Amino acid sequence: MNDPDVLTVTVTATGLAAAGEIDTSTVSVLTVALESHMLDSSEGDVVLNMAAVEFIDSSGLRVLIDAHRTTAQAGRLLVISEPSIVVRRLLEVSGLHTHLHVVP
Amino acid sequence: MSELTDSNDLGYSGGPTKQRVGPVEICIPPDPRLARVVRLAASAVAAQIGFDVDLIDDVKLVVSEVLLALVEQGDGGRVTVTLTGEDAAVMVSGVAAASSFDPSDPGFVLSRQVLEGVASSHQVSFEGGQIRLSAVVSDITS
Repeated sequence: MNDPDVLTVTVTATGLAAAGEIDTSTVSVLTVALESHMLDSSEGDVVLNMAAVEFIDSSGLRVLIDAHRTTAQAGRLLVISEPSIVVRRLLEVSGLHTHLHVVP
Repeated sequence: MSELTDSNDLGYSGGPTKQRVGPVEICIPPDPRLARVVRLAASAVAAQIGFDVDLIDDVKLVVSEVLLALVEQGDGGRVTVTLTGEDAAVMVSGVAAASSFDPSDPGFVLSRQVLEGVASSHQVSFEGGQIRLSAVVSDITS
């Protein structure tokens, strides 16, 4: 009974773009998209646009942390671009905004 | 012509109020998909006491973290969440049966980190085979 409209992750010219709500019920969509993208593009930054993310909790943060580690191990960088207010808020309260690469 | 003397007659409180909303008790199976339902209820409680959009987002985040922690640390049984809005604050409390509790679990540590950053206070206890987690989001401007 998955609701495909709750979270969508699309491939864009610059990387990936997430839209919707990221929680435990949807986070696998983001995980799979990030893993696929990292396999498909073997070099360069992994850019994840989060401008249209309307909700995110720590289950989403865990995926970002894991992706950050995986990309770093491969000599690459996970870039979180245009985080929405809720994403920015969560990164700040968790203290991760200083560890993850975030661009306005 | 009738005169409106109570702004609540219009269903609009015009800002944080002293009215009490709830408690609203929601008992759900540990299905992550149902977190949205609880977040919606929490949004309604927060809106009823006049929270603005940013504070409502904080309440939704707190609810999600409480549920996430209880589902992951619980035994797989039902989780009960109680929402109460009063005195420019929303209290979120949850309880789940658990045979053990690991406060050093990385996921739980991250949830607590988020709760510390968003909630004005929060508490965790493990007693009598139950984990209880509660947090309060306050409007400090009122």
